[in-house]
Amino acid sequence: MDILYLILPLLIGGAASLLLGINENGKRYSKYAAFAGALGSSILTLIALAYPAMLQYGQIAWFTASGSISFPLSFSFGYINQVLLILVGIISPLIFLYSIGYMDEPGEQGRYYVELSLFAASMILLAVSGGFITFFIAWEGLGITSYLLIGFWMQKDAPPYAARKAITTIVIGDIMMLSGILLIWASLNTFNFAAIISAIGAMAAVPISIIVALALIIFGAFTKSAQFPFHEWLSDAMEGPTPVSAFLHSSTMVKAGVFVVIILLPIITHANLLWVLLVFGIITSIVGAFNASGSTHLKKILAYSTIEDLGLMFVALGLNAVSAAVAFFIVQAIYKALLFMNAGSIMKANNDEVDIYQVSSFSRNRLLFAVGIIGAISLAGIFPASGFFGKLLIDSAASSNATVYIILTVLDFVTGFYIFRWLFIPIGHIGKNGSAAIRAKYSALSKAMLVPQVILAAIALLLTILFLYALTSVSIQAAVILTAASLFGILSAYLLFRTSPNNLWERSRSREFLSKGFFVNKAYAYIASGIAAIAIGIESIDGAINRLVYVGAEGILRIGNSMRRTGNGIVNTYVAALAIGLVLLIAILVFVI
Amino acid sequence: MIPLILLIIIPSAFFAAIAVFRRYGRILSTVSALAGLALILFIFGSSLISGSAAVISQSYSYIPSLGIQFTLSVSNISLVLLLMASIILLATSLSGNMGLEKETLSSLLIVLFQIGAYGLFISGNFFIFFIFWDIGVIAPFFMINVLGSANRRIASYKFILYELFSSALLLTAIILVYFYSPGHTLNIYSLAGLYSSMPIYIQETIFSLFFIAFMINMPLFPLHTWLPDAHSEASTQGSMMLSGILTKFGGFGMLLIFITMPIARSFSLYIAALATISAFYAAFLMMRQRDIKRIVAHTTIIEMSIIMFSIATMTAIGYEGALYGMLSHGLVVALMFLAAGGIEHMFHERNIGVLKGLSKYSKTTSYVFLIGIFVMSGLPLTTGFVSDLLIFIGGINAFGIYGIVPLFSLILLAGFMYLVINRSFFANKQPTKPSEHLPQAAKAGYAILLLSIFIFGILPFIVLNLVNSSIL
Repeated sequence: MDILYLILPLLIGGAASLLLGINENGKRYSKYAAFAGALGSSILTLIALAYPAMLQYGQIAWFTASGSISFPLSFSFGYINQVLLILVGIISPLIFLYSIGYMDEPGEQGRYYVELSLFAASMILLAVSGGFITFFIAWEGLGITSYLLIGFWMQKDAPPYAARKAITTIVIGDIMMLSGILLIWASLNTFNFAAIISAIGAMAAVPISIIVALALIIFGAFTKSAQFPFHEWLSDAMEGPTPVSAFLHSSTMVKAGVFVVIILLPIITHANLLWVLLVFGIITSIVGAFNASGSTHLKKILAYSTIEDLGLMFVALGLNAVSAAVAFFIVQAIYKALLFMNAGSIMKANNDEVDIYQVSSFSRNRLLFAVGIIGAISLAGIFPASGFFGKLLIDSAASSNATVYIILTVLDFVTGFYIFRWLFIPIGHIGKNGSAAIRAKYSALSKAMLVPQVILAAIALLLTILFLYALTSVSIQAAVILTAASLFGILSAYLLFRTSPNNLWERSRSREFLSKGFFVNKAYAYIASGIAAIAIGIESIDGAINRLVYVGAEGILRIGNSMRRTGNGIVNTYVAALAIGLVLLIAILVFVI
Repeated sequence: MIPLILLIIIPSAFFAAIAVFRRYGRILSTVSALAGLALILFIFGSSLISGSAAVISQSYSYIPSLGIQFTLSVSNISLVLLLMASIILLATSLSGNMGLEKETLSSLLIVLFQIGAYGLFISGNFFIFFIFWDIGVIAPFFMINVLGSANRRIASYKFILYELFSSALLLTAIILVYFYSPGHTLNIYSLAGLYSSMPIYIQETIFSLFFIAFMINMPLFPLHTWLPDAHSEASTQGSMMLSGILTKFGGFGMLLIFITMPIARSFSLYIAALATISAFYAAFLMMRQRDIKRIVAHTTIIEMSIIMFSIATMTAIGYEGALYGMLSHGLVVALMFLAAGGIEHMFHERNIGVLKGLSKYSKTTSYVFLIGIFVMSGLPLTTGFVSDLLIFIGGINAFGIYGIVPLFSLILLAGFMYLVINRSFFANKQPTKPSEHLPQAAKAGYAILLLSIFIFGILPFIVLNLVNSSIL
């Protein structure tokens, strides 16, 4: 089986759902076609993982330029490729299933499913890429499909704006990534990951052009993985449909950047650039965690929490703790997909209301509440949930570095605090529409929306067994500190939001400050107006050039006009001109020659 | 080998036919474009199969007293450009004139331009080159002056004055070449080894004259000011031809002089710097535009500057990148002008501040425009990605780490284009209502151009295998 077959069902499903979506009678089958495609891809992926021997991959020649420079498509099936494939293989059909329940408006479904299928296909292609050309094709595919999906609801105000913010950040990242790829090619004449790693690993000193190239690639990865200062697009990306958010934040898109950094980590270490990952990871996780505590938007809290999680992954990579980063990579995908699906269900029951003070609680639907709690304790890092091990491994990796360890422990506390704030506040509200209407809506929630959440919750718990089986030694001290910090966070959330009637936190200045996102958006606006100012300057230069041309043309016209006036038909003028000319000619003959 | 002169005779016959059978102008011009495309595909295919690297030349006696022959040659560069030109011409004559006003005239002008473009790309000596250069300028002049929109008069005079200035320089250079070349030869391809026998200052003068002449046509900063006016005031068909094909005249000339004149090496660094400045300059200038056709016109300056940069790398891969860039840019800019023309036709409005939510009522055109942006920003599996790869590998090979700088102008280009498309196309809260439908013919034009973009983007080896043997 060729490795490219893995994406074939998705492409077929996407095309079928587009064609069905155009047809008036076929419209309602559009979603099933797409789901079948996703399921097919996922089954093929799982078969490939089970029997890797029957998989064919390697290098396909694409084209050759200038006689000898070849651009091959390389594929690889190493452990990190497999990890990402498992995640996409599990989560993608669940997202399509959830979409069947969530996207219940019949119009435009064809467009939604074709975009979502292309998005999932790009992610699978990225997961099996073994060289930069394949990787970049998938990378750009993710970029444009996420742009289309975020801006899916064009008739609303916010989504087009959010999509623009996303695509602008993505374009910056794409250009940086492409520059880095080409600079690496210019030094090593290869696009293949394995060849690049072994070539740079063999160098005694890494040349400056490769350091620049790696820096460009790292910052390119930061744009997709929403690291400071490129993180704000991700919180705005909440304007897209919730299944898209769940997909975007868990196993796809944001993981693309982490994925490429994990692959290139040996040479990033060799080039002494780990500190970049560590510094930006710490800044990002702090910004993400505190923004999450300040927001009152049901999905934005989760989005900022993703930003924090990604920051933690980069912290782990910056500490060169690959296994910790990969473990967190896995558990985060599961619990984040679960939490977003949970938030989507709440929104659905509350008529798309997103303010946590306006929505009504989960307790009206016990199942939703239960899976929500599993997701929340997994995020907070409490024992029976697998999130605990992800956090524990990162904390243990940091234990040799006191500053980082303290920061991580504080973040553990904040995480426990904000996710239980997210959980507690909506309980006990009656909601805008009154309890009876909401209760009816909760019980009318489609099974297609609940089943994926139950499956994900089960996986989040089952992964714990896997960790218990696989981990040989854990630091008890780190485990105790982690649990204590998280529980303390949860306790503070409980005291503030469940017991005290007038809660201090919500009206405090600090929350107001945090909800402003550390003025990153303002900084973006300043940069944009700076560029606009340059444009105004350039425009005036252009006006000057244009005027110069006109002045020149006018000058020539004037010369022509004055020359014309000499031909006025009066004999006297001609005789005078003749005389002056003769005198000048004689003068030149006499004096010059 | 078929006689190359057929490429000139066939459109000329159709030109005469349109003048006689006025009612069938559109059909005849489409057939003419199809016939041209078929011929070129035949030549292209036979070159690809035979794999011949040599330039094929055919000569006819023309002015024996001066030793000037009517020489026609196809090199690999001209084959690629001919292919691009015929695809654009087909799409143009099939779809462009949406208002159906003065259809005979516009068909006549398209076929006239076809003669000019084919003749220029297959010209074997500079004498022929000059003749067809001027034919290629006359047709767009009338496209602007007669068929254009509100400010067409000023724009057309500006265009013709710049182009006349350009052809005056070109003629001076050609005369110098004639007098200083051994044996008074004007043959473009056999001159390659002969320039070095001329005195250095003559070589420098000839190069500078050629360079400025082609630079006006491409265009590059600071001689670009004719372009936004001309391209935005021309009729849709005029814009497609101007941006898609006419700017490639200059690019073709640049490729020829950089490949054949060894003196180019002493200028190349400055020219690369100028091209880089030009790309950023045009990108910033683009941000101040509100007219959708002017915006697309400015992308032409950016992309042509990047192509100039690629030529100035003076590496084999840079030349290939420039050639592929011209192929890519010609197709995509024709597509974008066609889409812009479709919008103008449907909504009677070109100001992006007024147009809102176009995707509500004109889905096809909106997505076509979006794909155009994808191509310009270098999306893989389209021609834009292949040309970006080749151009910037050439750039890094020639200038090291600085060779990547012009790539960053694409951030400005793509960033602004996405802003435009988001505000005016994909924010549907209060959509503008169209007053007319998009003609089916325009969709055929979209299909032809999109298909070519994806074919050459997914299967770039079709073209590159031909060029790999030899760029000339």
